[in-house]
Amino acid sequence: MKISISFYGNLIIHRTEANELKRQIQIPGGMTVSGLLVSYGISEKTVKAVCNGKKVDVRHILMEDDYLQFYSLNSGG
Amino acid sequence: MADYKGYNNKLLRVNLSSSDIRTEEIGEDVLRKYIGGTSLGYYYMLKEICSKIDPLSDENRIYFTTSPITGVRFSGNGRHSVTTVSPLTGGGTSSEAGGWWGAALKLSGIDAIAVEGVSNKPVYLYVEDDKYELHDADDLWGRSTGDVQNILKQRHGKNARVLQTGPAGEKLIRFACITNELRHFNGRGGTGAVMGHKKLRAIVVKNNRKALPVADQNGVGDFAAYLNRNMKDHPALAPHRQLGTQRFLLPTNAGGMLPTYNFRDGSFDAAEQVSGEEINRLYGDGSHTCYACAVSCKRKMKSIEGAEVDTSIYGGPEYETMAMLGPVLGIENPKAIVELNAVCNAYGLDTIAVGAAIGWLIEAMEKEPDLPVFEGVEKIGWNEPDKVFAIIEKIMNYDGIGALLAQGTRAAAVKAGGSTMDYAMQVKGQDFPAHEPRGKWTVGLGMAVNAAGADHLVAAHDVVIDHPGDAGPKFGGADLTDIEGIGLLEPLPAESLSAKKVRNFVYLQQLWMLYDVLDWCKFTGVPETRSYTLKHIVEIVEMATGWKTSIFDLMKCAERTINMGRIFNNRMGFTSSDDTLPERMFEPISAGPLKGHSIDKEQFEKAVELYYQMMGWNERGEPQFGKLVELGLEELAG
Repeated sequence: MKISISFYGNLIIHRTEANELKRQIQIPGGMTVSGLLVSYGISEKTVKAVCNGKKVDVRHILMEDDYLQFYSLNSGG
Repeated sequence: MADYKGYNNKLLRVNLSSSDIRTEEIGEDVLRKYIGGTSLGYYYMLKEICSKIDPLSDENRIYFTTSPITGVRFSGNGRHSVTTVSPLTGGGTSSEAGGWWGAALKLSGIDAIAVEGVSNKPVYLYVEDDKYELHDADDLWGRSTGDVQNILKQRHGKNARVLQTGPAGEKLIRFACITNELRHFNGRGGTGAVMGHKKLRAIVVKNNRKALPVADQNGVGDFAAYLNRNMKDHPALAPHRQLGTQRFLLPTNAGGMLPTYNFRDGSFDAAEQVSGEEINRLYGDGSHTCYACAVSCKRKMKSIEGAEVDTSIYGGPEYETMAMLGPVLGIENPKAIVELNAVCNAYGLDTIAVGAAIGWLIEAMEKEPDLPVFEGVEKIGWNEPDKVFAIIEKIMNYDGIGALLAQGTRAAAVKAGGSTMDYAMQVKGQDFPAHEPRGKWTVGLGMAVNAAGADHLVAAHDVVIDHPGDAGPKFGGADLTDIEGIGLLEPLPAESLSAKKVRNFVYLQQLWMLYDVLDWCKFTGVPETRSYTLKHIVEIVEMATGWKTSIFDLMKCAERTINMGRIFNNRMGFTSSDDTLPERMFEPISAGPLKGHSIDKEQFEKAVELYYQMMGWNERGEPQFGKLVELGLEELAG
């Protein structure tokens, strides 16, 4: 199935290019946020996820056309 | 320490009233105890400003300080501190800047400059190795920071490093900043207005020496090479090179902590439009760096056709500027944000304070339009960048509502009355930076108890220490294992001010202050982006100075500095009643992922009390005699 995904903060290293805001990907049906993180080699312990504008747990099961945002936060700026 | 490795043992004292310039030995005891940066600044403040003063009077002094590692060639190390009595708060302030000037000062043979008195005409100070001169600055007065930099570089050479206040400082705008090389700022506290009041437009430093004598040159070289290797592909610093702090806007928005509409909301519908990614796509022109730094996080911007100020010469907006001149004002236009940044930098205005003051104005005119101060004032609403440009001009000319805002948000709210103080986003008169404490509660505690007022660089933010730390930075998050070394052993929830959270804050505040004592860039060293460990900090200080030290010893110096700031503020009349937050922080966020979240006021007040106890302060927030003795500050006992 198709979802959209964004990487923010320090996770921009997982983008295909630096200014990329969003991209579409194909994932197997029934995949969880945790499973997707594993596929990128990202530890679920150090990032936060928002799905369709709401914070979600890594056990959240993804659905067709979901928009998932992964981010890490920093001190300062 | 007889030959002062890591130091020059030299303070340049400049009296602008008499035009007297002389050098003084700082002294082995002072350097060993106070080390440098903010600590050395407060050492002189406490010694030389002994009673409450008007910050914009002859009695105020301003100190420019460095540390034993400033100018030693490794990353994050070109910084300096500026310490003075803040025209914005009336208390002590110490503001740090990166860039090149601090390293140049140190390499010119000086560790610190103390400026006292007031000149009867505009001047600038020129320092070149052992030459110290005051030059006439009539031809600089009234000119933009860009013009002044050009003139001074033409006069003294391209490698002369220019630190200056701008037209805003000349006009005593209370949130005027100091800039060096046009792209690096001692932004907070109105330090630029102090320079302006003294009629000191600039300090130009030219160094002909390329290296500073250190105790262990080989060790320093090895460390520099290690840092360069580590930083090049560091998973948290590589993004920093790509987008700098501009990359913070979208994650902060996703987390519901992007200050929006004067901190009413926590997310912004147009966040992508004003993101660092979009600004770089449209106007980005690569990056540049500070002295000897391998990271190169500073953004360059192209010239924008038709812009009033050349956006290419002032650097790109940092996260703070983007948020304060974007979502805080409801501005959805990235071009306007880049141009507003350039305008503020050409004038020498703190972009954070400009955003906070105008954000307050918009909300006040929306909610309480009938207040007498708004009579006859043209209304400004959210997302009206043209009117924001116009208000900045009014601030610069003390024209109408601009005269009110030029005093700072707190003073404006006091004069406006009504309920406007409840949403004047400031502490002790210093405006909130672009961080939302309702999603990270010890950030609020830090803003409340910090001597200089609201500041986001007081300690680690809760949101980076609220998860287990065993994953390591290669996964894009924080490697927290290192801070186990100062006793932080477990992740704690971000929205809490439990006793454990307060204890964490106390330790982290000291660690963060240590970076300001050493004038070392926090981005290269703090847990979430660090490229070296706590042990490295100790080792590099030892390699620079030849001392035997420890993280205990260094953090004691940081704790001493926090106490010195507190003692100085007590001297200026501050009390525990100043350690608070705007009422808005105890009310729910209106929109975004953290909608409905607020800081529990009872928990907050208990946390402040507990913080005092942990710090060895009494209920009035004054360090107790035992704490002063423990820190070697007994001579300051009241």
